[in-house]
Amino acid sequence: MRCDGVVSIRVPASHQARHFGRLTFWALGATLAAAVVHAAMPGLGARLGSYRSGIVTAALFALASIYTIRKRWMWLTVRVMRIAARMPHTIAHRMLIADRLESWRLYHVIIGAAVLAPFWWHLDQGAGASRLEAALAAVAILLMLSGLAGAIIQDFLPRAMRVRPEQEVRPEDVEAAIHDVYVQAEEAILGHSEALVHAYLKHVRPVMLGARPARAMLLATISGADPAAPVVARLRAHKDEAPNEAETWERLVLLAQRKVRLDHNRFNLALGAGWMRLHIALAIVLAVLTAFHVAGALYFAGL
Amino acid sequence: MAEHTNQVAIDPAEIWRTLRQFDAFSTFTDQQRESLEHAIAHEFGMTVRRYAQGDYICHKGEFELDLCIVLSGRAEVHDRDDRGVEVHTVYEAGSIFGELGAMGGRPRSFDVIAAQQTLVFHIPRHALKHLEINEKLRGILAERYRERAVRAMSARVELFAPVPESFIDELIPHCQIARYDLRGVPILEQGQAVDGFYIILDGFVQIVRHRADGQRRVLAYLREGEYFGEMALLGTGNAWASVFTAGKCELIKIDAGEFAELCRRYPAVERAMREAIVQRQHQEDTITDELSDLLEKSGQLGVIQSDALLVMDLDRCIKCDNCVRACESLHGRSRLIRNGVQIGKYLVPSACRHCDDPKCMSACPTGAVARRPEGEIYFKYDVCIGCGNCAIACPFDNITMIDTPSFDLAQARKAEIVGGRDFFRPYPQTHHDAGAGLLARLFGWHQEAHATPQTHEHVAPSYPIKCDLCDGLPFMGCVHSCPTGAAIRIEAAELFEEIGAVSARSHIRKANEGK
Repeated sequence: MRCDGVVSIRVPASHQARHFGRLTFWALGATLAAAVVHAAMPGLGARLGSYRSGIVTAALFALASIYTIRKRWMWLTVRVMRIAARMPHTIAHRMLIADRLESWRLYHVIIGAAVLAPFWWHLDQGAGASRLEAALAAVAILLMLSGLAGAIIQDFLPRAMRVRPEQEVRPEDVEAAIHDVYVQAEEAILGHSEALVHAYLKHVRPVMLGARPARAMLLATISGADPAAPVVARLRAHKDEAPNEAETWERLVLLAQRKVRLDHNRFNLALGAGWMRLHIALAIVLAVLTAFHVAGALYFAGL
Repeated sequence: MAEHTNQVAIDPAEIWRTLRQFDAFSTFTDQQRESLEHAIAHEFGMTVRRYAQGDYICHKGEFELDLCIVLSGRAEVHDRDDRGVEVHTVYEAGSIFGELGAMGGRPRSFDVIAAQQTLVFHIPRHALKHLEINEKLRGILAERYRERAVRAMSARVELFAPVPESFIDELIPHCQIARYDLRGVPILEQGQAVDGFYIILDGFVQIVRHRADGQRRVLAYLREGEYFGEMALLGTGNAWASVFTAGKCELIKIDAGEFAELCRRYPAVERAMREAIVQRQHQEDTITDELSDLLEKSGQLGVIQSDALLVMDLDRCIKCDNCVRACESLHGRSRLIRNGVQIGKYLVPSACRHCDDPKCMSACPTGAVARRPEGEIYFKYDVCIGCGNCAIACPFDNITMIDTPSFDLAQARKAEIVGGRDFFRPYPQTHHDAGAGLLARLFGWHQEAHATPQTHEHVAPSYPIKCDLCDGLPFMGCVHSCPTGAAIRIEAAELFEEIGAVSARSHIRKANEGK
């Protein structure tokens, strides 16, 4: 009954969704497999030629991008389920499992990594590439790398976030909590000595209104260290600036601690969403550059 | 408002003339009669229905919460109960049945079939008060309810599985029904003398043990069909642990002395109880302080009573909001908010939990909140008046009232998704232009339709929506669209499966997937 050192309750395994383990392993495995296939068949690129290897590469990229459509619209799922309804029960059940977004994510990652092989063969044919093609190759590699980074982030970030007591799951809830903490701190000093108010304005309020550096937050996420610890230590060192107000000061320190942890919570949520924006932006740039590349190839080299 | 096809329009005074011939109605005063006649004329759902020979009046397992009075003709039950004992009952004119549903909110125990052309007076649960104003009828109903509830429950209690039917017959006179409406009401106090043996008829109770070191530990939640008080009965006569209500609950209390005497005559019952005692004492060693806190918190938050709880495993959730988007995509409007309480590593977001004791159902004045035989709570929009009582009553804020045009759009969206299966709209579409297409809105055709004289139909300004477990679809949008498998629909009790603190009994198919 122990989960991460905390006694917890647990969903029985039979109820859990089809879990494909760590996505990172699948992504790395598929990349490695693509690299091995490329190394094992060095002459295949030449046999396929530029056009065919390019078409296969573009087709696999397009196939991988269906995930994003499935993710945003249920239309595809509903169509699949209508077909499933006409199938025998066992097949229909398998289609249901195969259509889960969890399964689609796995297809996306495997296809996205496997595209490396035809892409590499295509690059092998590209002696004397133009700047556009060099940029296209760079963006494609960046896209794959950002995908790998995404797999790592999605695998490890949820657990990293659970280390802290602040575990809001929506950005608006984090903002509301931060506002609440600030209001509590401002109310806590009402009616107290001038020394405490000065110490608050000098040391605590900047924490309440300021943001922590992203680098420090990222390090805290990776290392699992509490980003509030140095802030708390620094504030406790200023305890003497408000003599006879130790209790209130401690309360303010704890509020500052919560604020920093909420900042960390907000950073982690932004990290989870931020890499995705980068990944999508790279995919769009890739699509645009590919369109130019294909048009250029057809115009200058012809079919 | 929808009407049943077999509904018969009979003057309330005529219905009364038939009712007064029956013994149960013999002591109605003029004032009570007037009140009843007025209710028949104005209260929604108080109807007389005609059944031809062979028609089903009640379906076994259905949550039809009507009390039925046979006005003329004859109905019969030919079935076997949960113990496999054959039941043959004849309901002649004047017979009353359906008390378990109307008074206890429980599903029909048997199929009731018309043996000839039969007129049945249906009194929905919310209108029972108009009968219960008469003391004699109230007494008759209470007595019949007690007998039927004990009989139905005894057939399902494992403890009584090895004993013959005669045991139940002997047991019934010594049983009382005790009802509790609030959480935290003490039923037994640890160390104090116990004068009864209790079987839970409905709801949950919390077992709490105060240890020698002064610590208070929640050991378990017992539910319908389980029992307590056996340790006192077979031991010192004092309660081994305290028992509190964990919400609205109903108990069968059996006189301790009489039950002990019956146990002596039927040793199989005593043996089964002794086995249970060993198991419960072992439970005390299993429950740590942390688990006790989790159990306490889960009870306080009403999580324990959920038949189909949506939980999100925070070790897997990547906060992508896809679950909410999928819900919106399927229903036109999301019925799920990713904000809620946290139990262990699970987030319980705001989405209908299909409670064991749904407050929305009790609060609905027209019986528009209903339960499917599988246990799912749903809205019967044809009888919904849009009063919003359900939304107010839901302790977890999982019901939202939306304005009628938005509701219509959402229903249309669902109908489109489910593939042409027309979803019910409780009003003619022509009453507002929400569903009108672009061309219709551009050329004003919808205004012509709007002018159709159908103004006698009632259109509420808003309607309630809540999670219906994606009724009509083979999957649940939120669960199916979670990219990491973090969203899981499960009966809350199963979260505690490993420690055996609550027994799982949900019948909801989608909460049992994977079993």
